[in-house]
Amino acid sequence: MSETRSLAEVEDLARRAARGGGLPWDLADEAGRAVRLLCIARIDGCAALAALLAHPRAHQDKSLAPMDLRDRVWSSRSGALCPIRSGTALSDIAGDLPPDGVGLLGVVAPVLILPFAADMARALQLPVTLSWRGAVVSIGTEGLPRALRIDRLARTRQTGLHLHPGGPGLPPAPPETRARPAPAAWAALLASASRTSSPGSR
Amino acid sequence: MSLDRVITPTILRPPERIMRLDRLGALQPSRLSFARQLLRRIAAERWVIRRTGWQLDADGNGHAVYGVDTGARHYALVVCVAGAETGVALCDGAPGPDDIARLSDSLPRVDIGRATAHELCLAKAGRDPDLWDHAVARLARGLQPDAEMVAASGVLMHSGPVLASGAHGTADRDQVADRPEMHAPFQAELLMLLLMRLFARDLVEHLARAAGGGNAARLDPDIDDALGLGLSAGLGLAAFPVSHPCLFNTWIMAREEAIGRVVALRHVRPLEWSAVRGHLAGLAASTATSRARDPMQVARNAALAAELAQLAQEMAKGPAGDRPWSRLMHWADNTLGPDGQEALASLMLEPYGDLVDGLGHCMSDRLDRDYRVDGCMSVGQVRALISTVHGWALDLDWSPGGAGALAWTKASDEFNPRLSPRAAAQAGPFELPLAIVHDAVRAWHCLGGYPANLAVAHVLLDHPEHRRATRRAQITGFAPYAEIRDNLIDAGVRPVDLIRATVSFLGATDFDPPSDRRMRVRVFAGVPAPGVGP
Repeated sequence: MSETRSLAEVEDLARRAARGGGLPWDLADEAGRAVRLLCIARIDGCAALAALLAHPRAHQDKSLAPMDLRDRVWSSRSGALCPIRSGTALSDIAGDLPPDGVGLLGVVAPVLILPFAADMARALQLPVTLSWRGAVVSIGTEGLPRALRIDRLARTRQTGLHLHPGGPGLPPAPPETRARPAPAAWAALLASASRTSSPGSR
Repeated sequence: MSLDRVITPTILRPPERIMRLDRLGALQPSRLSFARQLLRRIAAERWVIRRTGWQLDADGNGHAVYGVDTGARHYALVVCVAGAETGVALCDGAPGPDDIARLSDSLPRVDIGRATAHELCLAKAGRDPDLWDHAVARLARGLQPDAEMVAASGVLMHSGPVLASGAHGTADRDQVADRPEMHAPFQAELLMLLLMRLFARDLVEHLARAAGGGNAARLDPDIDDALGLGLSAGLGLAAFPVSHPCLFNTWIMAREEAIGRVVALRHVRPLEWSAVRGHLAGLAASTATSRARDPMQVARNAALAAELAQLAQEMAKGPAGDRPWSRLMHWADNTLGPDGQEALASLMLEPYGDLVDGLGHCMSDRLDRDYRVDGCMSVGQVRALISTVHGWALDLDWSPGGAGALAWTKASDEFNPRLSPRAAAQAGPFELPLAIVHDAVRAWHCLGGYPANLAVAHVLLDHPEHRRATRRAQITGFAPYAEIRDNLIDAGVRPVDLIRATVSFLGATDFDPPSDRRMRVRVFAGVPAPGVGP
């Protein structure tokens, strides 16, 4: 079994890895938080972030961002959406989410959207429902649930998603107090994070 | 409590005056400081501290365990010594034999080993190079350590950087944050330091007994009480209030509320007045014997000593008229500098535990982690929030030759960040997001290119690099003391002022900055050692 990490360690490394991967600190903060929240729900957020950072366009500011938040279906110029950029935008406009929701085309490492969907549920005080490829998960206002469908989403490299307010809202997963990231993902994040450190003293 | 204490509205000092580095760098500990909160709780709840393990040989190698029973829970300090290396951990609950074996291996390493969720904090400890050997040798001969040496060192032991709240594998803050005894900031860290001080005394006596046998003396309780534990703080503690704006707001707000409540008192009893005079005289005495050698701190101490003398003279007249503390603070505002004013402000709270101690419950906050940007707020509102707080900086020249002279960076093998000239730091890819004012100014200019009534979410989509500044601006809308109103990358910035603010809230004393980037302090100096139960 891999070594356990504190959630603070996970968030700190994920944040620095995202910055090292080319995201501004502003989005790196969001990435770190999202990874932490996934780990609390026993989803390996480190593996998801490592997959995102391995995407050839992950570091490019605009090419993975939704073009216009007023669209009913969000898409990017490159055809792939970054879950951090899309997720923060979703969280930002939680109060203005259309009743029939929004679609997102080609989300890379799509499980990283989940923490932002949970933010929306908390902000709206109303469950939100996420669907993809015939699977549906409804997230309650108290945090991310645990479901086999989510485990499958965590193994999905890229998919379209649809998010809309409402739904039954699954109860939250009992919170994990430690993270168990896959060693390869942890190593990948360490390598990316090392690019944020100035030359050492030793 | 008299009625006027309850119904008089509190007027708080404005953030643009308080949140300046020269004032934050003048803060003194007060009864709201976190070490004081811990000591009050230990006394009120009658925590029992027992030395439950002492497996140390004649050279001091081995391990010791101190158990703490709060009545509701157990904590324990485990100290492991191997030669010159000493490591300590505060355990959540009593450690079992497996824990002791694991910690005996990991704690005394030169680079301390990783912790588990069972440990709340870790640190390395070092013996004071001047006092330790002297104290052991004197006690072994049945004598007490030389009073001048005791005064000159002030500590038997120093703590290295404390790793906690998930750092190095320790338990996350969430594991304990809801416990009443851990709700205030840094309670686990301070409990560990308090027990380390106890261990330092016990180990000195143990080594003296090993060397002197039956002739060895125990440390005089008065000397024991006077000695603190040494701490050295670097730029990590300077960055702490910057990276925790919501939390720092609660600290300042609680202290300002406490000051506001006291100055609003219509009447002051002579005993309360004289108690504050006594505390100020104590501060004057410790300032006069300060160990500080940094020229700026020496000058500052001299100025503070002169101001405390003026204050003593003014207070000798006794409490006068309506709202005597308000009048005295007003006098101090017009007569003294920030050092004198803040010394009075902190020590004026001393007689009023019933009025201010409850504010200690308001000094924790999770919004630094949980606050979400309100993307529906208009661009115009965000710009207005930024200009309200940072308006003074909007037109500065932010070039490296101007207000953007320095950059914060961090090397992977160092505990503290660095602050260096921008060019030398090769800041580009490495710069830490601590240039708060510059970031706010950049966001303000960028947002100016968009319609004022546009929801800011649309701008943040194009310009995610202004998300933090937008978030911080929104935080200032409900947390008035969240932002420091000085430029932290100015060539003349003295980050030691921020360290001073942080350690004063910890409850540290004897500020001794060897440079403008570090601060040596003592904790728990002058605090009677807690009784150790059987």
